[in-house]
Amino acid sequence: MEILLIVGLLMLERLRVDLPVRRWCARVLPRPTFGPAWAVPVPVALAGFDVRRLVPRVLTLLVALVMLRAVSAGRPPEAYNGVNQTIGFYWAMTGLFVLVLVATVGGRDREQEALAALPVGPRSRVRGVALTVLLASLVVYVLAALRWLKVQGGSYDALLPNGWELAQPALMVLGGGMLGLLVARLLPVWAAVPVAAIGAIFWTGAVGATRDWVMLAPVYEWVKYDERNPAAAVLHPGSFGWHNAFLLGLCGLGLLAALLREHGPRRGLVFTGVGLTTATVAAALLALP
Amino acid sequence: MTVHIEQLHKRFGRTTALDRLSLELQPGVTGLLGPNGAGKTTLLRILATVLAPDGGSVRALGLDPSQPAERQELRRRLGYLPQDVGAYSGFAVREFIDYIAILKEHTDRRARRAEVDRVLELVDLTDKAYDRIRTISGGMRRRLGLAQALLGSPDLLVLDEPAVGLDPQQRLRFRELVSTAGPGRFVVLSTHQTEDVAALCRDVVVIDAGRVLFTGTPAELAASADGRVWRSDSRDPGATLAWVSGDGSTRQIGRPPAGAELVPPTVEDAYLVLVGAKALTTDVSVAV
Repeated sequence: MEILLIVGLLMLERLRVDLPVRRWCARVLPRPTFGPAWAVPVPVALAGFDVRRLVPRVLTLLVALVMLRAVSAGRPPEAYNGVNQTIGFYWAMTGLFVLVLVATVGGRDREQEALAALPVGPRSRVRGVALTVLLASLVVYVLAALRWLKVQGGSYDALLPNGWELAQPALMVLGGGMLGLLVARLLPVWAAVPVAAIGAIFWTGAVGATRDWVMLAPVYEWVKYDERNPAAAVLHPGSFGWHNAFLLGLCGLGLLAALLREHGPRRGLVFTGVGLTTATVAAALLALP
Repeated sequence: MTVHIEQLHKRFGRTTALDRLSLELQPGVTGLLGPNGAGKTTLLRILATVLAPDGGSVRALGLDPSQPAERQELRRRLGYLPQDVGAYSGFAVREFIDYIAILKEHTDRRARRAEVDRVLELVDLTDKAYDRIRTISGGMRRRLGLAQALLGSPDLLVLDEPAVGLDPQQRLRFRELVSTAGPGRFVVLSTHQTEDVAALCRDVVVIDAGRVLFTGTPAELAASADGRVWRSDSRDPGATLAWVSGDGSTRQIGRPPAGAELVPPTVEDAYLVLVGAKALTTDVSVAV
């Protein structure tokens, strides 16, 4: 099922709806004059470029529809799962594939020669893509918060997610994008896309059954049931906060590895990487009950 | 201010691409001529800061590209059209130029939009602005590459075979474009089109096997072949190269026999005299 989804997303990614519309606008409408009339940092400008480029894609529009449905439909506990699972899963997948394709385009199209003579180096381009992913994860956090507001007042009030839990889907999106960025920089070939995605799914499936606090997905089963005594359900043991720290650490490590792949000073990145690796392992251990 | 190249040396394995090459370029358009494998592209890549030399030094616009900070500053003032642009095929034409503009630190969106419009207009690609790159022709891609090099009106424009794939009309437009690059700017272009050099360049440099064979004006290059080009009914033994012209006579280059009908040499004749038989393997068809 996951493989079919990956293939479908890859095919959808190639479709864009903006070009005929833009051409028509260019001919018919007066030139727009909005937009900042000041210089912004290069990674911010690159993130803006990526957003303008990614938003009109058919895949992005489809995912947006799925997200809107996830936010507006369903009842608890399905509604809550919709917050954590649906939003996080689809956006993470989308982030992974779209960003891999955006970030690897240079390697595939042999553009490096022209880019090498430009003042903005590859590390700034990596930071720009990372900023785009961060924006996407913030959008997901807002969606999750909207969902949280919607499901309030039901019979599951006592079990509504707290802020740490709400952050999980956003962190998953961030992680998916960073994984895409990492794969794009270290292994810029098409085959790496499904391999990385299936690897991430396999990891989540393999550890999810026994060590769900260190899987690469939201922990959405927040109540631990006792089959012999269903009334004695208790809150799932473990820490959402440390789980989030673990996911955030992985995101940071992905970004560092992508930056290290490019030419430039390395010492500071290596020291940061060592510290972040230690912190991520510690967070994983502390997340476990 | 000049572009000063001193004792530049570059090897790729056992092949010597540049052999202690020294040059001084003046503002204006400089044409780089040479047979395939002469080292033109290597020289241009070093000038464009894409490639580091094994030895020697470059000083362009008063900056030393071997120093990271000065290399960065030089890149801000540089436009580079590589031999193979390889523009992102999934991008629209305008999108690609916009992206390169950001990477040239044009981060003010409104100013960038105006600059992108300007360069697309210059290379006559405004009508194709929203077409995907994979759908446009090879000549248009070349113009797209030229457009990205022209972003920001660079002080040093490095163009590696810019006229390849352009139709005659576009070549004329290209000449017009480069010739109006502006006073005080440096344009260095490599080409196999000697007529472009004759029509466009203030100076010409001929290199072969990584060494400079000639520097001077196109007129001086042509004059260097005075007395070496003649016309007759058939090939003479002293001819290094000979071909039948459109009027049926045989135009010959080499050592003319006594009493030969000498003709005024062109830049192409002089180039062929300089590089000799090597030219046979590249661009010249020979009739014997």
